[in-house]
Amino acid sequence: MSAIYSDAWYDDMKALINGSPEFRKQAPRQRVVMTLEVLGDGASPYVPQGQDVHFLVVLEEGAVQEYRPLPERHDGKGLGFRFTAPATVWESIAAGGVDPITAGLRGQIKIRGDMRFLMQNADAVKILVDLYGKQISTEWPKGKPPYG
Amino acid sequence: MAMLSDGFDAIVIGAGHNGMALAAYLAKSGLSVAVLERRTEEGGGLCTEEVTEPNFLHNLHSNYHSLVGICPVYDDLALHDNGVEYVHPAVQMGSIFSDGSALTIHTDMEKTAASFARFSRKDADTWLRLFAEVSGYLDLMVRTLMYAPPITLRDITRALASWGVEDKSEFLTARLRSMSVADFLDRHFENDRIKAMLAFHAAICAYQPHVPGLAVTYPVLLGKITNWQLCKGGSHRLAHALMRVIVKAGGRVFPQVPVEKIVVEGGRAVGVMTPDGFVRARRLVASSLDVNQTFQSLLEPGAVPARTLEEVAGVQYQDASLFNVHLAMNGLPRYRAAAFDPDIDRAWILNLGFESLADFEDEFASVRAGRLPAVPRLNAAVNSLYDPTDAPPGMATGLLRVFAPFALADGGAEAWSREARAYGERAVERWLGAMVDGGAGLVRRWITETPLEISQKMINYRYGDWMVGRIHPKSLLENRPTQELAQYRTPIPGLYLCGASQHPHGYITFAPGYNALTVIAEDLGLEKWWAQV
Amino acid sequence: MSRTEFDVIVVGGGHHGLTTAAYLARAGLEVCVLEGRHEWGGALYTAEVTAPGFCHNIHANFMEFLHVMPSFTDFDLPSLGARTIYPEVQAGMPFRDGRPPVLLFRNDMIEETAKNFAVYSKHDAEVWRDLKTKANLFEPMLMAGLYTPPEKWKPGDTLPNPMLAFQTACTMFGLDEELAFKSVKDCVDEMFESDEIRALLYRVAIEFAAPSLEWPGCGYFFLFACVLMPGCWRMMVGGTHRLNGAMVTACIREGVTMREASRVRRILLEGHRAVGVELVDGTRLHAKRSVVSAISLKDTFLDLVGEDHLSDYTRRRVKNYKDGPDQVLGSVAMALHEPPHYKSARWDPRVDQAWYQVVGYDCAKDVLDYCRAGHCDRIPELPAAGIWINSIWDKTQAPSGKHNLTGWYFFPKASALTEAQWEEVRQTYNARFLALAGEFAPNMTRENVIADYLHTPLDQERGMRMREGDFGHGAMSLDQLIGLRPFAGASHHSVEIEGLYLAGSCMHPGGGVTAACGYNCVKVMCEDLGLPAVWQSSGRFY
Repeated sequence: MSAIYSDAWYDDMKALINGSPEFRKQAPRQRVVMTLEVLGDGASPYVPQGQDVHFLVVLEEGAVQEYRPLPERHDGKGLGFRFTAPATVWESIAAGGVDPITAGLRGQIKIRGDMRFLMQNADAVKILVDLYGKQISTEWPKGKPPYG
Repeated sequence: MAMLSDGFDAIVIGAGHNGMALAAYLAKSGLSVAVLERRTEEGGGLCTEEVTEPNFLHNLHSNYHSLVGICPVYDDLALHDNGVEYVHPAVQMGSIFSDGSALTIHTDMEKTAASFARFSRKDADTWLRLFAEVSGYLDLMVRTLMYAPPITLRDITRALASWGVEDKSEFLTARLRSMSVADFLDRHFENDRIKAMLAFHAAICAYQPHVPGLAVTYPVLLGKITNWQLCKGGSHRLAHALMRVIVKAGGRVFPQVPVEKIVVEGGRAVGVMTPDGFVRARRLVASSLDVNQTFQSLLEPGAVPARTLEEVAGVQYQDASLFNVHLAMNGLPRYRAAAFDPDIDRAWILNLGFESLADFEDEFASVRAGRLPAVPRLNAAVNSLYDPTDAPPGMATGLLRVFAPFALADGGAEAWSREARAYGERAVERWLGAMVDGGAGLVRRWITETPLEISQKMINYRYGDWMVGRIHPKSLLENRPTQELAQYRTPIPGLYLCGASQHPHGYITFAPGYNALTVIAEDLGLEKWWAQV
Repeated sequence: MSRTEFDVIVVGGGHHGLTTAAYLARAGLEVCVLEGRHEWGGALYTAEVTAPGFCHNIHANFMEFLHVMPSFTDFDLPSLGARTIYPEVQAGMPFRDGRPPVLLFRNDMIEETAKNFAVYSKHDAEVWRDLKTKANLFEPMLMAGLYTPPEKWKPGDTLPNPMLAFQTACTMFGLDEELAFKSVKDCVDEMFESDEIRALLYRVAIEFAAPSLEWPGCGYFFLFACVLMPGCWRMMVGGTHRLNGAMVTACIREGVTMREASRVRRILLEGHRAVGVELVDGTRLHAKRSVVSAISLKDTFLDLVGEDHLSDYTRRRVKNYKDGPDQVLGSVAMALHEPPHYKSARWDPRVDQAWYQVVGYDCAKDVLDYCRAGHCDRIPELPAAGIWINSIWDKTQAPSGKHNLTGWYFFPKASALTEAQWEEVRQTYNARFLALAGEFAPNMTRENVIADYLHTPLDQERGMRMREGDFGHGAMSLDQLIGLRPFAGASHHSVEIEGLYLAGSCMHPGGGVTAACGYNCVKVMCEDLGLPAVWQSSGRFY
């Protein structure tokens, strides 16, 4: 178990996904570059208000090639998807308290990129969000959502 | 300076909003672009003319723009910086019922709920939940279902099933695929008039309430029910703005240059013939015309695969067109129903005649039969309520629309010239009948515009179909206009389709042009500066 | 839209306003042009007023200056969509009894005209040949007069005398200078003996906004309208609005900021200096260098500036500026199955191909009576018209195989009739014209007409802001021409208000699609503001 947003936590995520035979089966073969943007919202103790955390996920050949934090916002070049949400939303998902699909439906996660690709790879998306929301064990040194 | 005969990288046929938007993006991408337009004025359905009297601006076709702020084109092309101004009417639409009661839809949803609550508290609550839910996924749905080349309905439903959306949403269910808008309303609402108001909104978007399967996209429609906006100074100003963007980017728009043929050499589209001669298109030709014109009139039969021609011949158009009355008025209408709900006098678009879902069935049945009802059911819009510049000071411009058959049972389409004035009188009478003092002294002059005339002026609107292809599950998404042509490409390399015949449909969406752009950019390897993720 | 400061603000997006804006932008200024209507081009107005697909030029139709118009070449308007057709048979006058038609051909076909005139009078043929030959010789020089601003004048100077120029013109044509002082009718009658030819020339004169056929001192109209202009007439492919389209494109390319549907409420002054404008919606726009008004004189000074800000002299002269010849335009438009086929065509079928067809007069006196009606505030008894069927030349102006008839009646000024009376005219006069036209061309029956429309002088006044329906934006009579247009103190494109320039048709040379009022204003401004002379183009001496 690794602390949220620690390097080990990103490695855990990568290993978890790449360890899923189901994902390997469903995932698209081509290279897909995504970024997640975690916006400080005043409630999360991990991302101060006005600051944000970014990380990069690169898929190719049905496996995660990269899963790592970025020093700053991705400039969009070569980017396939950008998922943006307040830190509390992301963290609640990671803690298993919020269903990511529901968060998407409610507009809590802003999705930029070709939605058609996500729909055409719906099963892979489903596996990915389940892994993120339900499988990963995260350590919450400053407390776990929901935040008081 | 370049003349027509020097040719261009890209030629766009038709200067409607889709063709012009595509041209603007391509010009901004560095291509030399010409838009060739048959009519005397650019803009296609963005057509504002003083048809009654000088200084009364009538939007002959496009009047409601519901994708302002949602559609990416406005920002990408900086249309607001190029002279487009919109007004967002606070009271978007309303219904006046025969007993003198009235319903109003506001930009403020709480006010809408309050209006609904006078008819049904339960429906008002349902409405708030529905609108809140739809608002959550509207952006996502619009970008997936409108501003992207179509994916199959099967892919969409499989994804929704895989993600278990049905359990997570009150209103998005797999059954939507087989439901009509009326079914959807019956399932969730109890009051006839609220259902009629919401069905009216669908109907004027060309979603006939009883067509099975259309409930699929109804949530997208509903999400925009508060976003109906009015182009200040007439819809045609949007065309002016597009023209400015094109010209600033080095492109040209040539009205009154009808394309007579698309020239194909070695199986590839290489240019067009005009009355002035051949104009070469070095990289592409994009047609924003309906597919019948593009494939049956502009291309030599030998240049098109027989199967393509066969399918194009089978493309279906809406069975309901519009009969319009444009009025010059001495002032704004005042309704008797204002005693019930004063906001009705401020409603931009008014339903006068549809009081239950059954009324829509009756209406479209009579339209399909080619009959004109004795008392027309109206959609009345008074733009001057929110844009007083469209009429001389103190006066107003009015528009009545009635769903109407293209061909009358007695005499066909040509018979409209015989019926137009009398039917117009009935429409005007019905409207005035809802007003205080019967609207005495209000009307100065009015003219009619029949489905036949619509089809003659805007020849893309075959059979007076302003959506350029019926709104029907069999003619949407991957099936619009045909499966082969649905992805904006054609069997002829270098020839693309970018008009309302394509997914998603007509209306001022910019989506067919925008989606064609996506495909063209892929084929030409253009950098998509407009679609930065 | 947020930008509110420019070097120059041009009020009015008719062709003079657009011309001014385009040149000033080329001279390096930040220019904004404001148009009150939703559409650009003012009288360059083409609309489908009868039936879908039928394009009618409800206002300007004659394009007789394109070959000399500086902006046409300086901005390469043909490449921007202003394509022209130069019809061989420029004008034709058929007759009710099927007499031979009078035909007038292009400037490069003088002999054809002479041959036609000779049917009625060998003398007239000879006179025409002589006048036209001289006209072709002197045309550039005479045209240059259009594209040169009058000298600056201030109170105390000798008043300019336009007659001197007209006397000189007479000399160039080898005519007695006395002709300059005569009426159009007297000139025509002195030079031509055939009644038929006289009839056509009378009508041509009023088409060019002659204030009267019978007032003395109008000999210049004989020279310009009857001799110089016929033969130069071109038409715009797609309708005159396409010239506007090309001008608008030129403006955008030059970087002009264009705002339509932006009506100006007033011109803002600081002391005696124009510093900007205020729109009817309250928006204020600032002009660092100048404000140019390309709208009518009275609208500019009485509505936008306010008479309190004018000197007594300017106020007096503006208020007494005369709007309108006494006969102004009513525009007729008809969607036709087929173009008129005249009885007179049996003598010469080319009358059916004439671009401008004068229909309804049997003799010269008919034309005189027709014009006299306007002077007496009456609708002419004889419902005659000058018409164009542009679709004969340009198939894009009507649906396949069909034809668009557009034409001009001459009616009394807008204020001569009540709104109800004009409505009556609107509903009845076309039918009267049609009945008369049917006597000249038997196929002009009710069945041949798909739909029709009539635009009254009141409509012209309301829609185009042409006071009284005066398509010349002020009478083109001797007292309001050249150095006296609109009055001596304003003829150099400005008055006592610093930074305010005039570029509308109230300036020399007056109404018509010349682009000269704007062009001349630019010349004056370039000098005043120390701008490069962007209007100077190699090979052009004006």
